[in-house]
Amino acid sequence: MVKSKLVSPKLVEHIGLLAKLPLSKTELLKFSEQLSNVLNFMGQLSKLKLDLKKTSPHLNLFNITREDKIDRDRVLTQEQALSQARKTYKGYFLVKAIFS
Amino acid sequence: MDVTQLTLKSALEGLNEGKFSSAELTQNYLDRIKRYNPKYHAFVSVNPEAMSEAKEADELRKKGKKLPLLGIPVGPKDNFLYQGMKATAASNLLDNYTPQYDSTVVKKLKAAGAVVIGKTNQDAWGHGSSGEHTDYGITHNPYAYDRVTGGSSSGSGTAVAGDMCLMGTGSDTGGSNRQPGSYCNVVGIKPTYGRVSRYGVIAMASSTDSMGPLTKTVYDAAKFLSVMAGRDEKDATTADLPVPQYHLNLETEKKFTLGLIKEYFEGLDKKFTKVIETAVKKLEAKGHKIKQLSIPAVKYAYPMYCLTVFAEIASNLSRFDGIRYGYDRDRFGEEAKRRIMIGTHSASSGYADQYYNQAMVGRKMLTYQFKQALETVDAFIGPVFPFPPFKIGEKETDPLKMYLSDVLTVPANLTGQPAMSVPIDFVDGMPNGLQVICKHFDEQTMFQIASQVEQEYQMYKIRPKLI
Repeated sequence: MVKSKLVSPKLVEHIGLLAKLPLSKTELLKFSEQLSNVLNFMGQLSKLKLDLKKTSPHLNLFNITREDKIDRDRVLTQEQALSQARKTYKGYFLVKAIFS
Repeated sequence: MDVTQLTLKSALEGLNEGKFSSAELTQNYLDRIKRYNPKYHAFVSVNPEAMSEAKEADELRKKGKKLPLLGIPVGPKDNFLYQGMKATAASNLLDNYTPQYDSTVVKKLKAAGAVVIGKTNQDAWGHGSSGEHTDYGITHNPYAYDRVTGGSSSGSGTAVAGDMCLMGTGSDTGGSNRQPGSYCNVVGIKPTYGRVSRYGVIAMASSTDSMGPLTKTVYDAAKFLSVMAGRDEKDATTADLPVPQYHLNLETEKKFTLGLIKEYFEGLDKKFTKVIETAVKKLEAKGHKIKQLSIPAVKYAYPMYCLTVFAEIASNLSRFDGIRYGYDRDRFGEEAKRRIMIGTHSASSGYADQYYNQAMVGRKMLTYQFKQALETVDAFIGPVFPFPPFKIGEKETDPLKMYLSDVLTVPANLTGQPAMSVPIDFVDGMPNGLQVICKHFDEQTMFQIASQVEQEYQMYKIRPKLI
């Protein structure tokens, strides 16, 4: 019996939708194969017996704060902020319509 | 004298003694870039202002200004933002992006008087261990044109080894500075997570990204790191600890206890085992103690890394929407798409317990086991790569094979410890490095050990012949 793939082309399509990645039909098939292989390998992690409770990151950093003051050094002018956008309108970023 | 072959130490001496100017030094590097870059693809772009920056440095020197890197031509990796100069992270998606601000590292380089000569090539977004996954031409190994450089800081590796700039920067998320260090016969540093600011570097995985130098010698790396490191308000994960002048405290007769982690040698190419054994013997002969030990969780480090980092990649790359800067998401290359999808899937509802959460707990366990092992030794030494530099194109068809080349470097990224590659004996005529891994924020010990290894081998005297 052929073992069913861990990640079917249909699931790849769904992941592509979640991640906003346009994928061609050829890619759906190719990624189904490759993602299945990779995730199958990652599955070995389930063999690891874990005896620690889930906890915070590896460095003991907590409550990092800064003064509640505007740092002029890192403020972009409106012109600078818009300078890299391909589409702008009257000083704003132009985005695609959300409602049709 | 060919000035492009100088180390940082000797170049600064030459500049201070007036033997040559920064303008001459920079021009010589620019000539080599012009000659060799079309074939080797070490740089994505060259700074049109490099010569004026060099002349400015010469003026400052004349006025008696003393700065740690005054007039030294440096190549930041292309994911480090430098205001006004294109930053692509070697992806077509950012081919039209010109940053409006400097990364903290670049700001510090400028303040230290360095000349930014150009931006170095890389695997796009940092995704890769070979230098092949770039939209700006595959980087070639200076020691064998048909072989890979290691990655993802491939361009900095080739540029430093091939004398196209004096030092390079890199970002090490899973081995990206140590790997080109090992394959290109240069020193590659991954500092402790939080030692160097990540601000203004295009993010790969925010919990493991570590910015560091690639240089010809240990001294150069130590001095460069002293400039780069330190607390930065713009990166909340940077540590509020003083930055030592690492390079002033390298020469030591101190003897260390060095650990060999059993799991690092399982499945290692036999030729690699042999050269590491030779290095171990040399260190033993110098009076260092060697201790064998086991860190069982290392066996699972790769899956932990992959699941943690790919989830962070999916999140970090979600900001590229083509609205505020850059092109649309259809410009992501195959490797980025693969990683975004694995990350999205493994952290998504219904799958996270099996994948991402399991990796998080595993990571804590790995960190704990490393910490325990470090109570009995000063540092670990071992290999960087499981196999020698392969031919370009050889592993491209199987992504899993490519991922597994990171298996020996990722543990230090997961635990946040400092690690580096220092050149030792070549294997089959190709460069190879020894990995040194130390305690958190103990870069000083790491440099001292590497410096003693360097004294034994002096691999920086071997130069590649570019074609």
